[in-house]
Amino acid sequence: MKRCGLFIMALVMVQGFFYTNESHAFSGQVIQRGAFGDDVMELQSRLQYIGYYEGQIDADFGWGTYWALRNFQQDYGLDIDGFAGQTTRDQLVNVTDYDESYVRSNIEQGNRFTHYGGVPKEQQVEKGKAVPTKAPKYPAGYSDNDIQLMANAVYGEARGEPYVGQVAVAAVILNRIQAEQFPNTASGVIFEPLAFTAVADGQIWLEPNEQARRAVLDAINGWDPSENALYYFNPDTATSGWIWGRPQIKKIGQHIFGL
Amino acid sequence: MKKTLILSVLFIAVFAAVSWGMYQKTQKDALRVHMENQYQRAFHEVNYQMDLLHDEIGSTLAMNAGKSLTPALTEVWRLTSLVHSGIGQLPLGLLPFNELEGFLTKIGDFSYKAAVRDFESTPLSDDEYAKLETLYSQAADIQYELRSIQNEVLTEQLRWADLEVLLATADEVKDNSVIDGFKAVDKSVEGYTAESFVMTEQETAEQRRIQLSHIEGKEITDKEAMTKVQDFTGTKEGTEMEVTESLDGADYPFYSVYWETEKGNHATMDLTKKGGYPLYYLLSREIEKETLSLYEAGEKGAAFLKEQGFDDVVLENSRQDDGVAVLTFIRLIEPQNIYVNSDSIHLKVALDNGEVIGFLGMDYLKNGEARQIEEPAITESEALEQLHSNFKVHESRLAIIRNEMGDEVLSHEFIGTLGEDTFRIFINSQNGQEEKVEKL
Repeated sequence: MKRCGLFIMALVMVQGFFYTNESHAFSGQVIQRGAFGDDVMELQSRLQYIGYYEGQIDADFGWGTYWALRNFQQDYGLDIDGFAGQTTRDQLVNVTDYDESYVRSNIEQGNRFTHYGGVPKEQQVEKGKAVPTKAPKYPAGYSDNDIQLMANAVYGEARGEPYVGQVAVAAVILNRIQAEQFPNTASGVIFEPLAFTAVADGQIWLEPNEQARRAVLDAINGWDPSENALYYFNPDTATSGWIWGRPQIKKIGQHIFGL
Repeated sequence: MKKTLILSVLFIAVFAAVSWGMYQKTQKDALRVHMENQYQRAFHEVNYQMDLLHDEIGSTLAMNAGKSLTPALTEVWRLTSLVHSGIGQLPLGLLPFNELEGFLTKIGDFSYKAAVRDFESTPLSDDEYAKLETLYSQAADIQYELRSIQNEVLTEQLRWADLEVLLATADEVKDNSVIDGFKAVDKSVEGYTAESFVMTEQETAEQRRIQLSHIEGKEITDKEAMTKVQDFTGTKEGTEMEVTESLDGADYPFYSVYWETEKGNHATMDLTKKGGYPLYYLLSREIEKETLSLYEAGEKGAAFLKEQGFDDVVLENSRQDDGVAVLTFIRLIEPQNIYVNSDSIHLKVALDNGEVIGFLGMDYLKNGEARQIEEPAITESEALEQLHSNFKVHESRLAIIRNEMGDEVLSHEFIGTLGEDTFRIFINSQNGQEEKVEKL
């Protein structure tokens, strides 16, 4: 009987040792809304372990995670600031458990899963049922697909141009969406017949590179190297006489941008 | 024998080539017909909707009661948007039909703003009625012109596909009845638009802001522009820089400065000529392994802005995207603690070494006119009563926003949740009206 007790004590100690070992996975940085990565994955998992976070564990610190964290801070008498700083993280580590390899493998395999404490792990996984990852929150409500489409247009139109020239082309598309004399959607502007040569000759369907996508994102975030332009043309190849009569703003690379 | 063999091979080859060619031609013709049908459909639909639009404006004129006016005006708004999108599908490309499209947008805006209004308390004014009347006759003109183009297209069997080829290749298109017809439509609208839609106070103010007409300071030279760029970006003195001036069509005169960094990356910065205010800065480079957190990047960004003299802004939002922190700072008016969402500065901070690789100061500069700050007339708890009972408020503060009409209003801002989703709601601090609801 005594031996048995000792054995259990040893088991508990070993287990405790493993848990504390696992617990220090946070990298030590303050985690805030908008962040992405392993720290956020751990934060979401731990918050879910004790029932604060009910959303998908996707390593993306959005509003859902933010409110979960604040509720946790409130209940545990911490400063309610929505930042996962040292004290908040320590408190979280004390009261929760985190199975990193379980979470990581399920994300990699694209399973729909949860990480609630006290529920057997097998019951928390639905294989291959992951919700398609939410489009990251872009300003002004553009979807991933809009960005893809614009990246295609930018790549087809300006892949030989310097980076700012590409951002400027993306900005012209966005300026047109805003302007009253053009269609009001990204697809409407891009596919307006005869508006872009890359659409007319099919170059828009080339696979865009990462730089074109970054250029579109910069433009969506507000960068406008064209300084409000609605048109651009290549002076060496432009055939329309009309375009030369438009007011010109600046030249970037091969393109003259104008109103 | 040999001759027959060669002849028969030749014959088969010719036959194969001819039938291949025939097949290709049939395919191509089928495709052309298909495309032509798409264009025809768009064009005839535009005509049909323009008819409806004309009739609908007519019926709003005949109505007096507020209750039926709202749906009628909403219908006008819907139709303008349909006509507009239909025109966008026609191969008119670069031809200047801006007047017509601008006109449609203006009818749309006018009818929408009128439609959402409460006609019981504020009925249509005489001015607005007169405007509707002119809109009605204008719509009749456009309808007539479009009808005659349509007639011509049908009787002469004109094809849009031919027109598209013509427009794409010819320098200037002369004596084409469709083009001439559309030019006539555009002409009939021109002048009328300016006359009937005098810019509102909000629109002229927006125009002024876009032209940055309120900024002060003396004109800087291109040498001074280079020095400013060096100070702003920490670029070494003596780095070769290319400075170009803006061309005549720019809304505001500016300098563009291009240079290559020591590591061979391209960088660009634009500054206003007047006062040398930074408009934007972009450095394009590969990001190495991340060493900073988003939080640290935010602190670096704040320190950078303080150093550059932007001392009335606070970090509002941040996002981590492929090794770059995209930070949004907004103006905070003290001591009243009022946040101004429109006066924003965006920064890009590289997460490998904390370098600022992007700056965008346009909105901050554009909205930088001095403001009259009023006292809120209703308190926060009074404003809370205006919210939906299911909306759970988590955060609140005072904020200046631009509402749908284009006016700046001081509002109580509430961030909270409704079910799973997070919303931001602004309640006018003078009259308790719900000014704006945003899903975050």
